[in-house]
Amino acid sequence: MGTGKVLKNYLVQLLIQNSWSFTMEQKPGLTFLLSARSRKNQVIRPPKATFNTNPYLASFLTGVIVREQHKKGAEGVSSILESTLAAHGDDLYWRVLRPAALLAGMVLVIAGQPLAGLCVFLVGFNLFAQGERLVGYARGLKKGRKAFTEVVTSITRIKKIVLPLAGGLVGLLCAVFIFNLDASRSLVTEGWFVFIPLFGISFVFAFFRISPVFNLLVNLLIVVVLGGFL
Amino acid sequence: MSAQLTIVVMCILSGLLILDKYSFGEFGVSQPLVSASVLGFAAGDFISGVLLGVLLQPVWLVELPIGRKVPLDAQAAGISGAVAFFTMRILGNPSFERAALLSIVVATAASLWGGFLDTYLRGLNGILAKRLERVNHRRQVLYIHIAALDAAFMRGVFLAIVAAVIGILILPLLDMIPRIPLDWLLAATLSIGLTGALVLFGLKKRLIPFFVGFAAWVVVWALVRF
Repeated sequence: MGTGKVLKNYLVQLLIQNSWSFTMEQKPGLTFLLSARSRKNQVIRPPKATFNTNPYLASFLTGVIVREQHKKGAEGVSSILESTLAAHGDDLYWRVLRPAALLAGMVLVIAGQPLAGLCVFLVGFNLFAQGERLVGYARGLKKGRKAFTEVVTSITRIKKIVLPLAGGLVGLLCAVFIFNLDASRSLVTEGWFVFIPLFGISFVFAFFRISPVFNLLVNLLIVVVLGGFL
Repeated sequence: MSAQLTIVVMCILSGLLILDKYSFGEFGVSQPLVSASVLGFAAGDFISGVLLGVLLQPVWLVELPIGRKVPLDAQAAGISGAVAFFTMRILGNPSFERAALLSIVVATAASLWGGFLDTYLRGLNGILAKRLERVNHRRQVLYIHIAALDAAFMRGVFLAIVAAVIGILILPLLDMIPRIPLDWLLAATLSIGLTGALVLFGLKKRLIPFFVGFAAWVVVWALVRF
């Protein structure tokens, strides 16, 4: 597969979630993708009524669909791959990579490197997300469903590496915040006395999965009331 | 650039930034940390934008768009908060802390009603998708996608206009707003993001890395300080 085709597919893949709806999910995006390959300006519709998977892994799945579209049982295979890739992909990109990259960015911003912080987030996240989107289609087209295990294994491996790092980044951000703001003053300052109870309250909210909006309102109320007294 | 023109530019930029939510690419530029910085740059105050981004981002750090769930709209929150903040700063020049406190409140409201707008937009996409079933030329598929992009863009512009109007309406009330130190505001939002992330990453297994991360910085800080 030539570079031109890889790039063309990548650009079209950027629109996979555009016009996502509750009734057809990513089907319009997939229709656009498949139609973009048509040489006679025809509209090529996917074999199923709906289509939905993780947007970054949709590239790989499209490759598999194009390769196996005329084979028997292609529809069933697509359904199984869709849901499995969605579960693994959402877990990696939304639950691990994006928060971890954002935490890394925030550590740098609070440490006084705003531009580096933004770059670390954007590069750190997109290296994996857009990288998979760029190479996934060719992999799916070349190896078909056989590459599925390979994809899931690499996702699991990345997750195993990033998760402990993410835990470390939470600790680092906590420390950077406390020490950076209090660096010019003594070790124990009023900042500690505000942050530590708020951290405790927020932990209770997070642990019981109460909406962060309520958490924010409570925290703001506390700082406003405390601000009035101190 | 005049104040009015800056606000118009911010509204157009907001429309472009919100496309990143799911319409085009999903690069992460619509996350509050980046969108507030971009809007800050447009308003001529990049550093304030980044700082506001750090203030807003933690609240919506762990909002996940998994499956068919429509989570709290972090992207709408970032854009609305930043537009309200810079509208106030451009037109009234209040202190960073006062404007930031108000913009956090505006962002919180926007994350709620942005979600309703998002659900409406997806309904609109459903109508477009049905039309897609009837077309038979590739160019028509492209037109439908452009229409969906256009609707998403308008959602961003609309959110920004509302935020700018709120910013203008709040201006006379700014003196009544308490001035909370930036450290405290950051403590209020950062504690939400940090605890949310800790629970999200798996509390039992990640506590050790958490303490290692914390200890690493304590050592560096102590070495620098003493």
